[in-house]
Amino acid sequence: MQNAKFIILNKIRTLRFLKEEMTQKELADLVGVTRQTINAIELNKYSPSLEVAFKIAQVFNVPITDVFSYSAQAEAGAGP
Amino acid sequence: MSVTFKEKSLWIQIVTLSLVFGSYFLNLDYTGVDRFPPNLVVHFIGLLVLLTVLTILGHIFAAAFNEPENEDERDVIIELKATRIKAFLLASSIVITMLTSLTLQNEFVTLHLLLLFLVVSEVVEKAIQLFYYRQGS
Repeated sequence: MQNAKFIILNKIRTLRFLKEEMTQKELADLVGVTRQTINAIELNKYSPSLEVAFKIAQVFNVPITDVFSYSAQAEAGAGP
Repeated sequence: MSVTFKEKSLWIQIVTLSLVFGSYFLNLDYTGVDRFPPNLVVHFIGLLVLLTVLTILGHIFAAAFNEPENEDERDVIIELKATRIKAFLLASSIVITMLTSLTLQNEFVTLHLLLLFLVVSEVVEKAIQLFYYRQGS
């Protein structure tokens, strides 16, 4: 069986741009987290809780699956 | 990369802890380890007051440049990760202190080993939090 690393990707940066170039700070205030947390989520360094994920989707008025996606990345040189 | 109030707060705690307890350990009289130094309780209270005052002053100074932000779920997770490592460190240090105490049977050494490990574990906890904040996780 091939080893795979699962990561959560997001389109927050694009959605912010389409929403009148909303800043990270504005989104953070609407969601109730810090700007650093929004930045970490955008860079795929932090996976938010379901509550925060739903709040972000609510701000952009889109389904959560339009913001976040779950993807498997095959690890390079992974053994059996 | 800008430094947030939270990171500044962690730096302040690391510096104040290191300064206050570092100076205590540097000025400790290691020649008379058979008995406790006189007025040790008063000395400890003085250290705690100094630590509190320095920490408050540091935070007032930091708040003048950065507006403090509310804690969110990522802050809590980072704190928990750091606390887990601190707990392991503290538990290990207690075992080391117990073994040392049984071997040397010296209250002075036992007390100061416990104090040293307590301070080191606190500093390590803050440093780990800083690492996670810098890493962006």
